[in-house]
Amino acid sequence: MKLRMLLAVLLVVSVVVVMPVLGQIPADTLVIGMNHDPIIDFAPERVYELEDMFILEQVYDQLVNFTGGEDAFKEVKPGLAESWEVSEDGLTWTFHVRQGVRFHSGNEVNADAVVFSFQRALDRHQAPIWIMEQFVPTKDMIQRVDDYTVSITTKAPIGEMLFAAAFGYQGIGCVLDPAVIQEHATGDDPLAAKWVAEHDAGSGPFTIAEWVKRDRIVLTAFDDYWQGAPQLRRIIIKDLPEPTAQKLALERGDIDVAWNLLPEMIVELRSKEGIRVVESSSSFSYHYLAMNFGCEPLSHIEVRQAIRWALDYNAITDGIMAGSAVKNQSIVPVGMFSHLDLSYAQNLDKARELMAKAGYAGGFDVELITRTDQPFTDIAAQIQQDLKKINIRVKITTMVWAEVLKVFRARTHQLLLARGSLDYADPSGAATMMAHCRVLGDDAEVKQMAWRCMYCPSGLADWVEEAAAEQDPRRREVLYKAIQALVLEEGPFVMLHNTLTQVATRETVVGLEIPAMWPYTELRGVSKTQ
Amino acid sequence: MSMVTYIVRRLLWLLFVVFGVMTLVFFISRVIPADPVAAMLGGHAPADLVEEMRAKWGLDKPVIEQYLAYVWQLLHGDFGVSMASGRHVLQDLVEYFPATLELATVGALISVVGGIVLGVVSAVRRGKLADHVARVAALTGISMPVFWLALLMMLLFYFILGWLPGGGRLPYYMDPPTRITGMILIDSLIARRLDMFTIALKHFVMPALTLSFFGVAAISRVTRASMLDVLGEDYVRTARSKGLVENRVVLRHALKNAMLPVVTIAGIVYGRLLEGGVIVETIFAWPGLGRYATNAFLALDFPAVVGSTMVIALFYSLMNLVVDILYAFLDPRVRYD
Amino acid sequence: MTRRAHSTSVARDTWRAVKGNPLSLVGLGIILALALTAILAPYVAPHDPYETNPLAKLGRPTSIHPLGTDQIGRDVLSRLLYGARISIRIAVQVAVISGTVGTLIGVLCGFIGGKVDSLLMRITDIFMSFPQLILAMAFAAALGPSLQNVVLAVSMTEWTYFARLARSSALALRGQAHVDAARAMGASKTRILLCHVLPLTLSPLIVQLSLEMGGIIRTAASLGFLGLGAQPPTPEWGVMVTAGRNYLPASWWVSTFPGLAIFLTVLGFNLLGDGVRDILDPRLRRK
Repeated sequence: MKLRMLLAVLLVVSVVVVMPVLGQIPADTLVIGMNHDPIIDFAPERVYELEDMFILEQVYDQLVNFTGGEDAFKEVKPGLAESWEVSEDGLTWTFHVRQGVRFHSGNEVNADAVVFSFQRALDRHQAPIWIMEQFVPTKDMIQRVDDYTVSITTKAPIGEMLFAAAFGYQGIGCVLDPAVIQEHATGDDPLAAKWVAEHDAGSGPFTIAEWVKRDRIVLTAFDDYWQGAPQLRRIIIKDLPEPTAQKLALERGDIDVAWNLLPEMIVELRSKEGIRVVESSSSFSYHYLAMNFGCEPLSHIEVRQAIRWALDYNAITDGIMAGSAVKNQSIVPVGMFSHLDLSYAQNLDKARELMAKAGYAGGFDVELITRTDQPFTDIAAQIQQDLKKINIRVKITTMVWAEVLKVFRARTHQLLLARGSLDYADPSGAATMMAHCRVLGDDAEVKQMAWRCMYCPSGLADWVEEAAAEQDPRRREVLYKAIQALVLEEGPFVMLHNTLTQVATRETVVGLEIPAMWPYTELRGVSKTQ
Repeated sequence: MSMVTYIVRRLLWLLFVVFGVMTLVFFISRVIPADPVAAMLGGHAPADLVEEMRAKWGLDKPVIEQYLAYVWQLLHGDFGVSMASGRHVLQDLVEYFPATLELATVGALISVVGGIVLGVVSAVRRGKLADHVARVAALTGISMPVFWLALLMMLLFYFILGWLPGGGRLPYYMDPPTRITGMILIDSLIARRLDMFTIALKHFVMPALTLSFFGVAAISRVTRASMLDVLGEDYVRTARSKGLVENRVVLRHALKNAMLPVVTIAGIVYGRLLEGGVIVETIFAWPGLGRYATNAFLALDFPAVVGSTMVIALFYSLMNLVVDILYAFLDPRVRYD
Repeated sequence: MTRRAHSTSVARDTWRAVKGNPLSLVGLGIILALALTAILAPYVAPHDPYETNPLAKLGRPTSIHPLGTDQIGRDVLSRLLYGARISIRIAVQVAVISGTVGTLIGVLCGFIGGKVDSLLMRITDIFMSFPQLILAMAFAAALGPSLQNVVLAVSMTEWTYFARLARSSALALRGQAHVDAARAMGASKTRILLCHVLPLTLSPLIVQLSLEMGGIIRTAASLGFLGLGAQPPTPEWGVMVTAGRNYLPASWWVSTFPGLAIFLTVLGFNLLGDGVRDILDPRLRRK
């Protein structure tokens, strides 16, 4: 009798459960499925991760921005600064702050807020501060002139693109609301670093309404945004760590945008009804293999060259990446000013010859560190197979991304397969990252990829700086091409390709455009048709 | 000895065990070859760098000194700061644990109900087709790797049939109820949102069912064996000979007496569900402790590793304690010593 | 009861239990097939399990690749066959390490008794107040993910079961006639331990082992799935399921076959164990 009742209850429960899942995403809400694992926090002075920058893009403004669309990142356009001028000597920049712009709190954006934000970033002195410090090392170089005028002095003359790269950077370039920061300041945290890590003090088109860690980030529209209220009322960035789960959820209409799909999924979804694939036309991101000069066999130039000749680039780019990357073997991305087309293909005979010349015909053992996720593990397996053909025995060690970064920064890797991104569309960024290393020690001013691989040829850093300051485009191009050729010849990198950003959306999502640097994707103009 | 003394004694023992677990995990992370810094910096770190990092995390001090410092911290309710997120570990645990607890509880309920039904059917129809089917089903449940099962379930019920939501605790666009307990079913009831409760319940089905496969299997096996034992006893035979209808005999007499071992295994199953949670949470995007712990393990974030393992051990031991107390209630023959 | 008689009776009981239970025979068959696969893998595998061919990736099952190819064009069947070696290797090594360590500690405890015994038993309590996978994860993370460390990590979670069992056997034996006799004849403690106590505890341990095998393989595969176990490109089944899950449902073969392999192996051990269990459980034997 009781058994029967139990069965009846079970039946009812299963009927409830099996009823179709009701409910639809409201038309004014955009749900994005994204892997939250890389997200650390939203403190502008600390943000360096792409996912964190993407959130900042929606909630903060900078003095200047870059153009979007086809010519993305080729020109500087006004942001909170309505106009600006440079002094004759190229050292003093004067910005006129747009009047009547409001922070989310209702306070007005003015010169004080701008000065406060940049000085605060210098005070906090977090990892990305080098971007600002390389031009503006001290607080007194940032001055308030009047309520709506700010003057910034640089230690050396620089071009507009570079200046904009530093002060338009989605992170340390953000303008914060001083009143809100002060409100949340505490005795041992006078700059409200803890508060601003989880909330926002910005003036952007959206505000951070809620952040449930490893679950969801909710952004709500800021109606008084100076460029007009956004179309969407709410954006929910839902943590979906599994690409498969993202794809299934998109196909079933439970999310509007799937951000972390694999290339094969994109290929499959292109032909699916009701789904649209949105991708960047170019990209400033690379996959590359870094070889540490501090590791014995890799310090031989012949060995590094042999490794370059040994890899099967077609298999990696066309096979593993399946249309989600464009082949590029130089440090300057395809389509960018001064890009040097250096395409070369696998040549095992040449590679073996070079190994013999270096005295390593019998090969050696080496450790390859990479991330735990695809495509890194797959590319690593392919590299292992390719290098086996020239007797290099690769042991693959996988780590989560944060760990890989730590190892890279500590310079304790041998081979390391990673992703890298440029901060702005000028070859100076690539050259600084991959060719600027003046000293090997910890006192180096730039500790980017060249320094991390202990690649410090004398004079190259000067060359990189000279190219950055050069005003004549033709001479500049020659300089950058020479740097690219040199780094390819003797440097620590095997550049594999530029990766495109590919996302898939429901057909109802309109106005989504992904620039070459995806964190700068603006959601303000996105809307949904029903 | 009275019940109260017994419980107090057991609680003290529990504290000792959790303390032991903490000690164990602490020393694993510090003594075994891969010390956190070497693991953090990779195998070929230059010596000076390793030293610098060691000093930064206080690892240059003798292990015992580090341990005592950590214990001192703990006594002040401080679980340390996560190396990965920079947040207090306790804060993270409070944030993530309720979701896991809730999922494990629903999973345990399904396990108990499903396991007992399956076990009873199997015992009553001993040797018949139903018995064989139930036994093979139980073995299948125990043998199924949770991660594979989860993927298959998701494919079938979410993608192909569309009957069940594919992940999360609520539809992604829906705001959760005000966080009070952190458990979505309870919070939605407190907020008097029956609609939300039903929707949330639906989100529980797949992860909880996946989790409970193992539990159903384990409980049904024990129920079957225990029922068979009891069905052979004299009083059941007497009841039967008095002409009581079979169903009644089974339920009123046998099942009640067969419950003792089932309670034991149910407690173990409840604890084991936390283990399955580690995997299920990743696949079903469940914001729980399992995923937090997995990421902590992967990133060698030792303060977070020690913190989350302590919580899990505490829960596990508490379950054992509850089982023992229940046992004492159910079986008057048990003495508290 | 002499030593020989005891061992053979257990062996006979085991065989009888297995023989009388068709499901156990199926289990035995699966395990023998697995062992055979592991031994013959290099001879029967159609391809090199590590050989990549990204331009022919995610190929459907064909006559050349009977179970298809994976996301970088490796032959799934060959990887599956080589994976059997890895699973067997893990299971055997864990069994040997945890069985030996656990038995030695258990016998020592049971035989010596006193403070050493209670201390070691408290330690096993601590180990057992932990879900097994979580403990294995902690060990695997601390040791660093690799195949060898999977073996160590799982062993560290397993030894306690053997220690408990060996201890109770040793306790039971302590007072028995032949041990007393040996002592009376002036045999040293070590000698008594090694020649009289230890051998007699082995039979139940072997039975216990058959029960634990399924769990060992499941735990190892779970570690692989979580990225804390064997590292890619090792053809470990758990790792293969992890990589292949991204290609569900379109390329179902990449993760389905290794998943099925894990399931069948664990099922095989469990079916066998189910029959063997009856020997341990006198209540069931009575029937």
